[in-house]
Amino acid sequence: MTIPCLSVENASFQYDADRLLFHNLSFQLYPGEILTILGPNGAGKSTLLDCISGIRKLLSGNIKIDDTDLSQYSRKTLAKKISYVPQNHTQTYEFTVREYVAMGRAPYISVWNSPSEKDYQLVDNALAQLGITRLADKIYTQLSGGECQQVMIARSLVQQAKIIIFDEPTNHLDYGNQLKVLRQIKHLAQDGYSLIWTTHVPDHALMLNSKVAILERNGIWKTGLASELITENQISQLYDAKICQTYVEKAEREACIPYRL
Amino acid sequence: MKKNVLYLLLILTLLLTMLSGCTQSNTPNNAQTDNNQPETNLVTDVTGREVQVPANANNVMLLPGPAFEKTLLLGVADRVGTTLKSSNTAWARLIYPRIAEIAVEGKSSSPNIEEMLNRGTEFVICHDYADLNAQLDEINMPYVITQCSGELPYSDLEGFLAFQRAEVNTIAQAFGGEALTNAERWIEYFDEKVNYVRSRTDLLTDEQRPRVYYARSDEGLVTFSQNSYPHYLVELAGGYYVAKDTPEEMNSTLTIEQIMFWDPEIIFMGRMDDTAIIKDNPAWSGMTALKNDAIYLCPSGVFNWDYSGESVLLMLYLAKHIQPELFVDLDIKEEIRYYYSNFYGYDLTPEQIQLILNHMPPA
Amino acid sequence: MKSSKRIPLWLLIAITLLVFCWGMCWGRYQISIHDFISVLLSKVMSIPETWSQNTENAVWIIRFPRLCGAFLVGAALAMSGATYQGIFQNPLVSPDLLGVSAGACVGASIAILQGWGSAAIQILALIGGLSAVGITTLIPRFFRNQSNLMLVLAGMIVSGFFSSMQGLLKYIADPDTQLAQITFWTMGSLNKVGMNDILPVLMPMLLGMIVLVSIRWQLNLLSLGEHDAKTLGVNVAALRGVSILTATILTACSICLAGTVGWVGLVIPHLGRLLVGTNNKYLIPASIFLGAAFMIIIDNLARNLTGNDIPLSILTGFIGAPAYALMLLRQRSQV
Repeated sequence: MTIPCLSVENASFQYDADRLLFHNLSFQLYPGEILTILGPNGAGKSTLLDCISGIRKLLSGNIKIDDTDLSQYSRKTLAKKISYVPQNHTQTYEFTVREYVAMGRAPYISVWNSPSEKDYQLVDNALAQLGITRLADKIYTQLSGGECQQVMIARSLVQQAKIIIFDEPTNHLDYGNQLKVLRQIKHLAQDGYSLIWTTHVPDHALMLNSKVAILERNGIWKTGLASELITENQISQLYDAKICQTYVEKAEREACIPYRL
Repeated sequence: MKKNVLYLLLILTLLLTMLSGCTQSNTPNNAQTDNNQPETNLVTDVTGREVQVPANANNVMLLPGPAFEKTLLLGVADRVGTTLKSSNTAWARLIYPRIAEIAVEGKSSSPNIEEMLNRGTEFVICHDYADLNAQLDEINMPYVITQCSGELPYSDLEGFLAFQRAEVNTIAQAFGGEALTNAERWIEYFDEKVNYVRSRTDLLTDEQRPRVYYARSDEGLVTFSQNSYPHYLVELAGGYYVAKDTPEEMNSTLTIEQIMFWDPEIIFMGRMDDTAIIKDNPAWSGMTALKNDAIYLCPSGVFNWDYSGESVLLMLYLAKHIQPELFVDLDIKEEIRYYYSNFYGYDLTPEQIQLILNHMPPA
Repeated sequence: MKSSKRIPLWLLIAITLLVFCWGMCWGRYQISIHDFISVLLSKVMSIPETWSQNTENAVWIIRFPRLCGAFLVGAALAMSGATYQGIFQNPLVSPDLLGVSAGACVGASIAILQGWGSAAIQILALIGGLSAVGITTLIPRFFRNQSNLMLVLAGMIVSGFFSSMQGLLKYIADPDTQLAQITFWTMGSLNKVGMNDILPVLMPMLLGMIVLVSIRWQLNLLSLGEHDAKTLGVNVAALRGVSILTATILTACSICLAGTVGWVGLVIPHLGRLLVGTNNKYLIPASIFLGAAFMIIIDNLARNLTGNDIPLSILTGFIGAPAYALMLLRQRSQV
């Protein structure tokens, strides 16, 4: 019985006394697993991600990484275990892509130093792995949305953390880039990373055929496999819309799409 | 309901506050009561303006710094109602104790108009500040200009001397009566002393005149530049005023290299009270004045000697130090004693005279 | 920026040394080349004295300390500006953001009103500046909101308050002497700087510069924003605290030496970004020498253009503002 690399038990959180964001939330994640979190706006998905990556503190419950409680880790060690690909890509200053990705090496660089040749080698490797070496000397703020996304992932990779968290990675991307990101998540899982990501589109979860969790507005949390949890009823009720789920032969997969308007 | 009560209370409080602003009606103690024709003095001020001011006024506001000591030497200080804060010097208080009771204004350019009316000010002596003059015109308050803030009404020695006389004359005209005779007396004295000094220094060539630097303040870096009182006083006293080529007319902050470049032979310290300020500063050590230990404090009396009626005494003091061989017969202490006795009606003791020479307040 | 496009650091250092030497040679008090070299050499070997005391004073007592002061002030303000711009992710902030200038002005004004000498003015300026920033950092703690925005707002409040206090002090100052002195001080000048003014602040300033140079790459992480920086394992509160403290000490010390000088902390980092790129690894060292060289040039002009000492802020404004406009013109397509 392998130890889950991430284990959340009975987590609860609230911003103010009126409203409990989530309560008694539990799940486990193993190496090579993908967890897709679905839920409407304002349900608390981003907050949950913040708690998992140690940025916010839970009200109660605990989170363990490699069987050690989160609080036992120093900031830097934690950053070597979990990396975070944020949703917001805006950047004030005009770093080159290489400089930007090199910042992912921060957990390995002491306060008095800067990235070494070895660190830049890892940067180049990550860029090559994602096929974006041509962007190396471009200015980050001049990239397109899709390219930004790729660079963020590269930054995560040089962080060499086994758990990667994506906060709504498909939000600002065009259709093609969305699929590209999904493919990357799949490949990363195959390489042994554990990934958690959030999305609004249930069909994405079906495409990855991953573990799924649903966080509803009232704080209710359900987990299960995609095949079990993503049902017409569940999704229709979650988003208050008429959703149809069926096997599409041409695409060779289960699909979840809205009915005719 | 609660909210309405709160709003009502707020309005009530505001009303009461507004009402408290009104005091009991106070008719200004204005000597210019409009019945028949009040007596006036016709004054031509230093800018050439002609203005009528109430004769026998007993509540006069003096805004320029050197105005007060002029009223003292004209013998009309009793008729001053308001003076400038900086006129209230330690020596002024000794010689004229009532100054402690006279109302003060802090700034010569913006007196409190309401206070002015409240006190019953009858006319104002002031600078030619345009805003102030406009304000006084609006409330029909007569004003006499005795000092200029922008362009000075003189640009050479003769003009400067004429201005000294004009200032005293103008104030005397405004007050009338014995002020006029006292003004004549003072101007006679002034002319006598100026001629005494000039007769010995007018023909001096530039080479015969030592280079003199007048260190006004700020550790010696601020000076009076061209067309200022010290400029002319030093020239009268037989010196060469090194700062006369700087562009500004009044205060000027210099770089020390500039002073080094001029290399003054004598340095007078204007509004500082310790020669150590310059003597102990190594940056000055290479200058001729320091090598010859020719650093002197400027005396200070009822008002700054470099900007008042007492400037005539400064001229004598400077002459004594700049051209000692030409003024062997000049006894500065006696001159000070004479001036204070004759024009302020105060007999200084030898110790007091020495304090004045040392730029010190009375003991 | 690609390394091929970056202006090398050695070039900036060379330029700084050149303008320093230029400053040593140039002054209202004219010195022949022969005398100048003799005076310089006399410090390291014994030479028969053929020059005047004035010459020696001009070079070693007047110009040399002033140039050292200009170096330190320019470097300190430029570094602080670059640091603040990184921390607050905003290229429009200057070291005055948290109120250090406003506080220092109040301290100096109080000393001037009391008629105290240069030493007291410097000490009170230092106390005023540090107190103001101290209050600024306490306000977010008091409101229990430690975000950058809260800090900036606190800075505005404190600056505004101290500015009003400054206005009051100017109002009650004697217009004949004190007001002019206060105004001159707030516009900045190195006119009275001697070695015994520089030595007390030299250690803290050098230490501050060493600290900022050491952690310069970490400042890049701060410019990613708090959230991202935390996920990268950065102790944001500590790093921000140390950076702000160091930058504040640098700014406060330079205000001690020269009064408040504007534009340097805003414009020089921008120029630095144009020449060496945004990466603080290169920007911070470049700021040191760009700031130093700039300040030396400004001070040389201040003391030599006329016989009067022109306040520094007048020149930095006259030169800095159009320079800033020119830089923006070059970048207008990207703004």
